[in-house]
Amino acid sequence: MSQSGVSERICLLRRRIALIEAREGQVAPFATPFAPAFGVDRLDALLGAGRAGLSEILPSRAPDAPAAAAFAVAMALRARAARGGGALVVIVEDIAAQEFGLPYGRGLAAAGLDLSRFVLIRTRRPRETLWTMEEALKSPACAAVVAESFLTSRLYDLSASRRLLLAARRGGALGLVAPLAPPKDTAPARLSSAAELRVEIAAAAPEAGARPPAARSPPLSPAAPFRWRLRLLKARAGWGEIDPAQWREIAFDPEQTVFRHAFPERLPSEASNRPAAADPQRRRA
Amino acid sequence: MRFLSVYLQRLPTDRLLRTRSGVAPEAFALYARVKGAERLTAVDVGAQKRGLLPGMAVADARARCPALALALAEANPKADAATLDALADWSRRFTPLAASDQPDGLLLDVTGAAHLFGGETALLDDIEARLAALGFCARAALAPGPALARALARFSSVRLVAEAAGQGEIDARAASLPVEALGVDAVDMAGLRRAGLRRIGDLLSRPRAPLAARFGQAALTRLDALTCRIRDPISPRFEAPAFIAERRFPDGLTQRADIEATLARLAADLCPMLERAGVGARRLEAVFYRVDGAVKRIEAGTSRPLREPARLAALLCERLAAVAEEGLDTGYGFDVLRLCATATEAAAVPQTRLLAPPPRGAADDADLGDLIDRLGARLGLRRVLRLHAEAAHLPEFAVAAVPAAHGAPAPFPAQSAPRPLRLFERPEPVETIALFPDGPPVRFRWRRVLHEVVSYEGPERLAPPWWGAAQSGPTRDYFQAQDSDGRLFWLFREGLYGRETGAPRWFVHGLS
Repeated sequence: MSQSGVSERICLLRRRIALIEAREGQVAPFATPFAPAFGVDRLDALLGAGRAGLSEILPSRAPDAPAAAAFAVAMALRARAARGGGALVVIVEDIAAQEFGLPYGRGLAAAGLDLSRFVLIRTRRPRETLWTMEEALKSPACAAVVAESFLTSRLYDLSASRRLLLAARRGGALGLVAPLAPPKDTAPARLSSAAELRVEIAAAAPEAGARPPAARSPPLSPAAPFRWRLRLLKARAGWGEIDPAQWREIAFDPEQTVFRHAFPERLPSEASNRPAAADPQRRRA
Repeated sequence: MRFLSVYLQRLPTDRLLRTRSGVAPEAFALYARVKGAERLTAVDVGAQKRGLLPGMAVADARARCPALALALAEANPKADAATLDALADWSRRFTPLAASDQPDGLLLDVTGAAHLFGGETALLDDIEARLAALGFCARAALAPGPALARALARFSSVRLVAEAAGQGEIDARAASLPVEALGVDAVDMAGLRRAGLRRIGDLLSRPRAPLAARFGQAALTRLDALTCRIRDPISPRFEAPAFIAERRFPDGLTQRADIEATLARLAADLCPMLERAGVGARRLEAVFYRVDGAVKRIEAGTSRPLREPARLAALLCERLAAVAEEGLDTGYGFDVLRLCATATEAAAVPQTRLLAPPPRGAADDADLGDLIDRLGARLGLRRVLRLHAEAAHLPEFAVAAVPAAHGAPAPFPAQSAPRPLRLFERPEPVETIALFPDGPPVRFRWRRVLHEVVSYEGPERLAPPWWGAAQSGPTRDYFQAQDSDGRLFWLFREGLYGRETGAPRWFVHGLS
């Protein structure tokens, strides 16, 4: 075949893709210009922007995988609130359940999840996970689908992620891929996939004043689970004024289903209305 | 009532000969060790012609038959029984009520089924011809009672007792059978012989009371069953489902597309039946009968009563695709496809409303149900779960993961104490250093990594259920701990120091 024949065919295929995308009712990703703003409200808009789409949540390091999974659940809750209902599907591979346990109903219920619209699916292999995720995204019942899996970049490539993206647009759901290990072969920033948003998540650093508990100090309760450190790696909707290289502290408010900047919320409760130790004179008495 | 009995006279030898390739041996026999001696247990036609009989010593058999011509194999009653069960499954293509009649026969309840095969004689011919093609020497007989059909297949050349036959004709048929047809034990049989009773007719012409006194009531019951005076049901291998649709093909289907199209048509046949009965299918079974006698079966469960042909067909095709991934061996093709609803549940017809949109949420529920069914059909019902709250306070028992097909859970009760987002299926032991034996953790080693605790909350003490069994484990003290990297752990110490144990152990139970 001649050179021009090849390029013609490619043009034809491009046009067909454009037609398919037009039929799915998808507006071009840059159609709504992103108004630059300051602070984390911007970030919240960015995280909640693509209601029907595909996002990737990478753990910064392997032990941060539970935090990344919790962030995925928070984003799913956000997507569900934005849609005004719908089911939430979480797909957990067997090996992920062994490594980091299974989602726990009591904890999820406390986080504001409606468990009557929650389905937990256990899969055996990454390939099965991808199939299940695509089926769930296609279903109009789902608001969000979270897949926790040890995906390899060989299996989860550009075409696989594009399939997921198209399925998500057809079903109107948000797909969240939460790989349980940071990709080994490529840097997270250079990962190639069709996802619209990619964030890197690490567990939130403990409070500055926190030290190992001394024998006499009062217990300092740990932070709520919905706090992370976050870094944006990819946003097709545009960065705006967010510095992608910067780690930012972020918290999720399950009551109002909104992401906020994480201010240090609690300080060590100092004993202000009574002396820390008895008066030496009184002790002597 | 019409019963068909098949007598597989040479099942043990046929089973081995049909799988053997190459030239068939002139004589073939099976042997087993009986009280230290090797004796023949089954012989084929060639061996029988040479005068070999079951029960003969192997040495005698070799003396009668040159060693080269006689092939011997060890008997395997278990494999014979399995073959018979497989044949009973195969014979379900003729009727859903089929049973294996150990050790050497099949029993089929063909009441109202014979006309589908062109009449009773044609049905008998069909079964015998098909079994012969599979390599089994079979004789079939059809009678109004299973005992009579069984006796005719084994002891008579009569194959058919007509449906219109009266009691007189049945008695006349039974009278010519030998007394072995009663199937009583050896002692009674010897007694019958000694009394000079050789035919069933001899028993029928005698008064009943002396017979009962001598041979017991059981023998008379068998006699009544043989002459169809009492109703004698068979116990089929599988319960006959209430709703069945099936299609037969002159040639086998081998293409998956054809099979899927047939399943869609079967579903369209089945659904009106379900609708008439006002039920929906909760469990479906599709059975494929292969031309060479093998039977394949796929099952699919639904999360709610279904009777829409398209949904049923989609579900089965999904299951078929899952089976096909492992390899659906179509062989020479499937010639009978059957679809049954093995479990049903009442389902009212939804009232169609004119000009009003359906209530919001109902469509969502149906969509979610569809998704659950489809995933369940592919992954297995036990892998598609929903979390139900349980009335238990131990964390691992407070939530039950139940297959989603069983329905939606009730809302969770409010939880005052903090709970993690993830729970391990089994708590993982950690080495912990605590401030004091019953104090909070300071650092712990989990999966060979040392974690420094910077803040914690607890303890929350959970006692074992004292109302249950005595050995229900020690008390647990739960701590929510954060390490220096900010990761959250849910740890517990097992056992109260000094009271329950001297060295309490620590576990990680959850993460968030």
